[in-house]
Amino acid sequence: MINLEKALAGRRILIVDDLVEARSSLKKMATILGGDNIDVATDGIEAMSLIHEHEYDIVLSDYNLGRTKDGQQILEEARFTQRLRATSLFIVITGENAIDMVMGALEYDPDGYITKPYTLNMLKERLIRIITIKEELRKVNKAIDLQKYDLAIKYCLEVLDSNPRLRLPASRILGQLLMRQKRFQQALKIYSQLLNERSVSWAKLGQAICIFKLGDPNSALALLNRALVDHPLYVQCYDWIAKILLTLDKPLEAQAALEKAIVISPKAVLRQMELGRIAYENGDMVTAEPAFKYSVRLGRFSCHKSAKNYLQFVRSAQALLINPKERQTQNKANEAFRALTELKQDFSDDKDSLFEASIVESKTHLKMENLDEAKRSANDAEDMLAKLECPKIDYKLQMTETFIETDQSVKAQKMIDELKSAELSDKQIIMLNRLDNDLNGEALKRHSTSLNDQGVSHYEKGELEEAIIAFDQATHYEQAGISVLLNSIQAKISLMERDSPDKKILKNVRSLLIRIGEIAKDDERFARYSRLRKTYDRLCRAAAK
Amino acid sequence: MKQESKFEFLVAAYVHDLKNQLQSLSAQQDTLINELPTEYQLKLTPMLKQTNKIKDDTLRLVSVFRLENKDKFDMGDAWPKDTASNAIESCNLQFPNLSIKNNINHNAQGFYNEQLIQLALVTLITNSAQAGAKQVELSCEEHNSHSLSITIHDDGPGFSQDILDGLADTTKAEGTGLGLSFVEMICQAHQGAAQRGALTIVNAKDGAIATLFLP
Repeated sequence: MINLEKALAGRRILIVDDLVEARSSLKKMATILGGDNIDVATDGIEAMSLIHEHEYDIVLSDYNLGRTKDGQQILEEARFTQRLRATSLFIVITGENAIDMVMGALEYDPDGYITKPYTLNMLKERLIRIITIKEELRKVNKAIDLQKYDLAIKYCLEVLDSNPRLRLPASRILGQLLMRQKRFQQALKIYSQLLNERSVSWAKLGQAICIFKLGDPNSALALLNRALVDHPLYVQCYDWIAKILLTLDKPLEAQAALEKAIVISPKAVLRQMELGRIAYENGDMVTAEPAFKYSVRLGRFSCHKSAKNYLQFVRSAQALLINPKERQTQNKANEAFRALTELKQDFSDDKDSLFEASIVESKTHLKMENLDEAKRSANDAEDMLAKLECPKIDYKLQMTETFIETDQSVKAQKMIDELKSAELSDKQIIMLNRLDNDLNGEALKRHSTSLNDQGVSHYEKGELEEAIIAFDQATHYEQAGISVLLNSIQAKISLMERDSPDKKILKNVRSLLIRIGEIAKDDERFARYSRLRKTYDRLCRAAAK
Repeated sequence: MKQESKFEFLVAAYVHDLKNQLQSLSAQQDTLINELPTEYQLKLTPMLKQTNKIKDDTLRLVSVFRLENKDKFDMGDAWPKDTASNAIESCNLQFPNLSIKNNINHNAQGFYNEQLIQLALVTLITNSAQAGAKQVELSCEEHNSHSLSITIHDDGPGFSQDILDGLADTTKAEGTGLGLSFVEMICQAHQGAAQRGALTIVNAKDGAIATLFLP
């Protein structure tokens, strides 16, 4: 057994508890027991910031830390970001109602736990046991810290051989190491041997994962469901049930499993993200939207903060913006816009995300029936796209779609023309064809009519140059009708009559006349066509002089 | 959320809060004792006893609730010497005149729910004290099949024949009198490969012996 006073002296210790009395009492106890370098944190955010700042040898954290992340999440993040060495200790302090969750963690398991209420003597005994075990496994953990996993496995096997009392902790580490190396058959053997004698929750989970990885999802599901009968709060089982159901092409059932896990443990960012993702795929935005909202909120001060969460939150919220006049819809839209503002601030170096943010922003404005703002956001997206060195094809498709939606058909057409010569996947070709049809259909007609109207308006005011610009845009489309082409010709002829014949303009008029081709005599537009044609011929003769 | 799970969540939240309060109360008492002159410290004893009793009863309440719900308790590596030591610490406060010896080997190791077994030991020691025992000894035997037995041997008058015959749960007038049933429930909540935990009670020449078998 170790000497606790010596073991604690000089070691950097972090105590995390949101309750002031509990925090100071634990600090006092740890000091009495020999700790002389103790920091305290009041919540998960402060704890993580300290862990990023200093290298701790021992962390003693309460499980339930109020509204911020819990003790288990601090552990996960500290180990995930490799801020806490395998040789460092992480001890969770908990009431027994959370033990299922603490004890069951397979990947990021604490070195031990202390149940409340405890006395100084209880804390002392517990620390002695936990530190002693950690010391006995030091070789293994050192190898893990050096990422020498084969060596760590070798040491684990040696420990199992020489010290049967360390069977549980050594098997736990060994199982994880073997799974990390994808040696599922061997890991399964370790878990199964242990389960023959001891009913250990994490071994049940490990066994199920191995069986799944070895190609038997149904047996794995049966094992996980059985584990849940014994430990209904064992949330990690739900996570794996969802994963397995997805591989069996049962996304609705997978979503249901994750929803159960969320009820038990709502603060896990990764779980909320996964629920959001699956619900979004299932088209269930009522579930996806709050899941992504939580992901954004919980991820704000965590290593799992990602621009994707913000974007997915806004995308799922868009689907719920049914009636823009309603206050509830307006609140939701404002929430979405706030999330996008935060994204733009916090990910200002991430050009890809900024582009996507502008795209979803534009679509959100459209849902709120605000075309001007939608157009502005689309133009922001266009600027961002231009700044990307090698923009993805998908981005160009998204941009095209947004141009169409915001009535910017010329830009959309240009992008479609560009995309037609690019190398596309089957999925992208389908998308491009859909956009092309959209543009040539309603959107184009609408836009062309609008340009024509603008041209006519300018013409009527005698603003011939402006009228010509509008008609030129309208006739840019192959689909422009005869009336539009005639309007364009008329504006150009009027300009030349006002000023003087111009060979370049005449050439352009000629090409428009060729596009019109022959017009039947009984066509109502024939008279106008003939009149313009005669004027054109006259101007040509004048220009030739 | 379903009605019943809402109820469970509420209970869990209140219990969690209660435990935090108890933890804090006990810390404040410790601070107070350290700050008070020795002659006044004794005056606090009844309060400490009461707090300790409330703590044990809270843990009992939670355990009974979970045992009644047939919840599975998480088992893990545990050390009988430490478990006994924690139980003794609690009983020393309640029964300062009772001599309790922890004869359990430091290296003895088991696989059980520590909190439950600690409660079982507190209950059995309390029974001994209330029956008039002056001395209690705790020992432990590890068996080949990874199972173990923890024995509590006192120098009291022994169990009445009705209790030994299983005809009665108690002969006591004070307390709930259901301590043995509670301990039995705790033992039975421990199940190993083809074995189930059990409580055995016998009378020796010099007192009563209760043995917890944990597979």
